[in-house]
Amino acid sequence: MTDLDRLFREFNEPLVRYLTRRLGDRDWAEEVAQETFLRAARQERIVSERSWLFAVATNLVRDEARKDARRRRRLDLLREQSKADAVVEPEPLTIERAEEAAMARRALEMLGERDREALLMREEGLDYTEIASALELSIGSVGTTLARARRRLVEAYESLQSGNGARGSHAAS
Amino acid sequence: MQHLDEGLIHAWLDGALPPEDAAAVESHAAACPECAALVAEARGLLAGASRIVAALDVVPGGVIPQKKPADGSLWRALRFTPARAAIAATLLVGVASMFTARRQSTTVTSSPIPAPAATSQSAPAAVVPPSAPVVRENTAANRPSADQAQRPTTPLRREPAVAQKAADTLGGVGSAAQAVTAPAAPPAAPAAAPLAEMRAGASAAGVRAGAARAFNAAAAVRDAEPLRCFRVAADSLIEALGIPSVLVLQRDSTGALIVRGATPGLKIDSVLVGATWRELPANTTVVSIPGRSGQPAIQLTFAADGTRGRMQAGTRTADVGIERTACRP
Repeated sequence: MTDLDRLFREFNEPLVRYLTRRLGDRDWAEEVAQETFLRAARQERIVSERSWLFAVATNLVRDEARKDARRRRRLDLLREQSKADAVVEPEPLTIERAEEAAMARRALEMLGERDREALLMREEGLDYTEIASALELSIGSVGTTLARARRRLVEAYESLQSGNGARGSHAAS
Repeated sequence: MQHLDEGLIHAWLDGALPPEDAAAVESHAAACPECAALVAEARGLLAGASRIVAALDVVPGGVIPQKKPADGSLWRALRFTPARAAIAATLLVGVASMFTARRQSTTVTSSPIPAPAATSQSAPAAVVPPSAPVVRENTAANRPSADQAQRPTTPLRREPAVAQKAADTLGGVGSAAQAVTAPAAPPAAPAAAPLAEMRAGASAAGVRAGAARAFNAAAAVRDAEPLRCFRVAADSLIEALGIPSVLVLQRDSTGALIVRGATPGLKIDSVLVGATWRELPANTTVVSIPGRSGQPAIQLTFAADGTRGRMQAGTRTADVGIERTACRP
């Protein structure tokens, strides 16, 4: 089990962060991450570990996206139960930050699936070789993919921002 | 001289080019103004995209569950690691944890419902016997008419564990509010005239039907006939505050008025805990959602048959699109 421990220590945090950004749901992300590590444990040997882990996680997400909503509701119930258990109150989150997060999520969802995954992997520090391997792209096309993803994300976000500005939110009342 | 294409520029900025290629790109960009401009633009996009992705990581500060369901020792072993303990257990939904987003189920939250002064049935507000069901106990007696107005009344079922924990979380306040007697509404109000009864009921007590409702209880009321439905236009502020896209006013099986959230397909999936719905003169409807830690109080005001409304969240106000919608898809 040492290998699994090491893999977990090294890669769980970025993997969960990648998955949370991808799914918008931390509990779901952690479940997928754990499944990924369990699969890693069954491997004899993994050559390029980070790339392999991200690839498996990405494929799991794609498979799960096809499952029905019932599964999400079950997860939601579990989350509600654990929230009922919670005693620590969250730090106050400003509306502005929450708004930005909501806009960022909407903008991200406007990207194609592959573009989105490539960008999120890059943001976790995967290099072009790893991204190419994880997403089954040619290394030469990773740059183009990221360029397109970044442009679309920024444009989408900016158009959401300006859309909101036009709504006429008054600062103080 | 061949100009640089976008993919190549990004690969260069990401440090993905072998040294000779990187040097070639660099020297070309130095010599070619158009390409230099492309590089500058690419830098901006790279940084901008990074910032946007980082904005996804909303960290409310950790709603740390006391325990999670255990799936076996390996899972438990994987869960409890120093790295994990150090990471705040973010629940993105914690952003608007009072309400649930469109697809999610009922929340069980601690809304700061003020315990009404003299009407509480239980003696001290702070003491709630853990076994007390989190729902009014006297409503059947008080509102026989409401029962008639309902479809077959299902006794409110709840997961005892969840309700108890919710009660504990709320302390005594919420449950005391639960024990508030329904205001003395005229009995035998037929189902055909909910409006008059609603007005009488709504104006009598500010806070209604608040406090915790367990998931199964929400399931029991889901089939109750909605009284009013309004569709809220989505924008990022609405989403950030977790306001559902459809607001539904219903009467639950105890006769209490509750504000619920639904998806655009009229699938009811949330209870807005502690929310009130008031009909004011001049055909104005006001939905008030109490604030909690990290969330300001929210008030939605709109003409009952109009298309525009006003939202006040804390000190911010904004116009929102709200339209009356049929309560059946």
